[in-house]
Amino acid sequence: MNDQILLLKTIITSTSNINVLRHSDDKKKRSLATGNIIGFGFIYLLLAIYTGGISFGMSYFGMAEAVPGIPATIIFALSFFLTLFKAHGILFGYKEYDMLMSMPFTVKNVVSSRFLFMYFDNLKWTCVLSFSSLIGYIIGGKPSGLSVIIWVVLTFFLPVIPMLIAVFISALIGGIGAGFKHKNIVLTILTFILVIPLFFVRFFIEDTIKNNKIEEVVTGSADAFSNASGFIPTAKWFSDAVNDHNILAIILIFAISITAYEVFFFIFSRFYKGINSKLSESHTSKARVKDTDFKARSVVMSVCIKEAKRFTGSVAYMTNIGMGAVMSVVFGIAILFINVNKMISSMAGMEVDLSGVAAALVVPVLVYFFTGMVPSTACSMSLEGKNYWIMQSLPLKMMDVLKGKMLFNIFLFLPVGLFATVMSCISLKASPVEVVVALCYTITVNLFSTAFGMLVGVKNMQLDWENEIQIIKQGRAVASYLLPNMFGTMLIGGGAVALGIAFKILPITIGILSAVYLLLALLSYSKLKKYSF
Amino acid sequence: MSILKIENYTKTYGGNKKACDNVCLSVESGDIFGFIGHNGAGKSTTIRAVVGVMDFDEGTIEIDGHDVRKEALECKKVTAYIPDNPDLYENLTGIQYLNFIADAFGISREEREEKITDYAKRFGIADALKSLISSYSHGMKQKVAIIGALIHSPKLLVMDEPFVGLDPQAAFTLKEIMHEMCENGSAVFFSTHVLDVAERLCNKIAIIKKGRIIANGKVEELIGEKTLEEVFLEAVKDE
Repeated sequence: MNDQILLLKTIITSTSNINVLRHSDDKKKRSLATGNIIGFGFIYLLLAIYTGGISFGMSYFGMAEAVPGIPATIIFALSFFLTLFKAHGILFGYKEYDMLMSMPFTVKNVVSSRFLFMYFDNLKWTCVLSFSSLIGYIIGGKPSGLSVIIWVVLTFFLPVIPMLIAVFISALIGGIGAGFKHKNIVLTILTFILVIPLFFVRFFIEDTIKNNKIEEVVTGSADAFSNASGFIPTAKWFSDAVNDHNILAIILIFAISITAYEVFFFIFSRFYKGINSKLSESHTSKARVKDTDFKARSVVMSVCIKEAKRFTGSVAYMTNIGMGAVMSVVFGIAILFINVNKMISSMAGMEVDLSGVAAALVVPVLVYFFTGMVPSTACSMSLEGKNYWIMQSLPLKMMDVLKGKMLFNIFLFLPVGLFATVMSCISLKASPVEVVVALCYTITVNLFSTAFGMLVGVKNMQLDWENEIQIIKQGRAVASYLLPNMFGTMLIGGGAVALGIAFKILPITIGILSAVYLLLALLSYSKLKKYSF
Repeated sequence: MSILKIENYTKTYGGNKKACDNVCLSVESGDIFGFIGHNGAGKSTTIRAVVGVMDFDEGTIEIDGHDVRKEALECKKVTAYIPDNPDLYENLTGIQYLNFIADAFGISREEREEKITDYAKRFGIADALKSLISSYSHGMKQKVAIIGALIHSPKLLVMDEPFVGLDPQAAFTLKEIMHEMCENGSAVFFSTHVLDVAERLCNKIAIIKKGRIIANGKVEELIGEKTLEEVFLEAVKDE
């Protein structure tokens, strides 16, 4: 068997739920693996219905030509961002590195198999997204057989280029950061510096379009995608290939994907061991222990500090969970200089007129998408991993451990949430009542996010993982938190804002919403007591 | 014949701190070579460079006449490495893991079956090979890692603290296998803190202190009338 295929097969088997179901006698493990399969199956089903529905609708109403660009654009963006956030952990932070590197595999095979693992992981949702769109496109647009074949074949190449760009950036960051003493902090800062501007690229693109070609641009999300696809080469080539059977576009996708893959891994494999060696270097402090180092703390505070150290000790943890906190600060500063109406309209994807309403109360709802998207509490218990025995063997009340972890999440997200809220109140000249309501909302959603995250984190604890990225990005607990929280926030939060703006009673609806979140926070917290021992 | 030859090996951390400084040693065919030193002395750093896991700054390391930097694959084909805390694929079964290792070394079906069956029996884990590695104890994982290391009959077996976590029976079996390997012309290079085991098991020993080799040679010549423990403690005592 080819070494690359052997490595890939092994890593896929070792991380698959199916292997657990086939070989484990542990009932709990089996039921968790089953739950994982069903849970992700359900998410993929929702994704398929949603994208298939959009494609069908567009095709049916005569916009079939714009359809191929939609999945291609989403696949480009998602492949890029998802890979960027997990590449460091998959390429550099894995436990079997020593074992694999000591075996007769070429460095290129080892490192490219890690990339292919990410590729196949992405391919699951790429196929769901692309093929469900294709089904909608076939039913609504009646394309030719050749278009369908081109669509199917090119789907497998669509994620390659954005993933290679993300891996290149991650390797570059790894290479630069490896030379520093405080590598984790440097790597995280470099990632933030690079990623945060990318979040604003969308607004920049839309702004450019609106300023230069306002008459040509039709509002609406479908057109936004078709416009965006013009900026993304792979999406444009995919559209041209499917719509016009453009041979050059097909060749470009094939040739660039394969050449870039070969060239990148040929070069990267030359530096890979050096980067890993540098990253594994540890620096022991020569400083002597001081009196202050013996400071006694409460159990809760001690766990909180331990969690902070765990957080700052992991690039994956900091970049994925901490991103929301950094974005809140950026948002809080930006709101002082940017037209809020324009920004909120851009985020909502439609024109929103906030004149005459308490606009400062809309901002905390938006900020919650940063501070409450994934709390540290959702993954912190699972991240204990093999160290969980320490918690278990110490004479600790589990509730104190949970309180410590929750306290860390509050320290991480509440100050930045309050900062963004206060900035919005200053920028929008909010009345004292609005300030109080906005602050109450920010505090209650933070409490809810913390307690609910902890609840799902404890209920869905996974201690045996190969790579912490499995927990932080793909963990059961994170998925169990993310979906209800995201949809809940969009429905309840969006509903409260819409109702408040429509009837000009925003302080009342946001006040009620705060009370609801407080109630949910208390409910989650009281349920946590079940896990105390 | 020299199976492992380290010459002037130097590894620097952070630009100026030398973790290993001008290390020279040679492991011949048939040697059981013990590598001892305090925690942080440079044992694992040397071992990781030998097995091609870590880059280094100066010097050369040769395995069976091949340079580990220039002919990495040739070296790895004849070497087996067992780290101090083997991180195996937790969600593979023992047999899936061993098959993966056998595939990597291109071992035939008959040979792998014979070896895995034999070693699994000797280490007493034949019944557990169908279970997931995540359900194993530390010692069982260590045993699977050892079997994986032996599957391709390496010329050089490199181990970092191999006896930690092994039960007495397994430790005895491992020592027995080390002797068998050496009788067949292979060599064993391992680090340990268990000095009485090193004294009884090894024919050669090197002591490393703050990255420098401070003693190196045949056990009987190094210790004379003393015990290895006495010699070691004297050697590593700070001036």
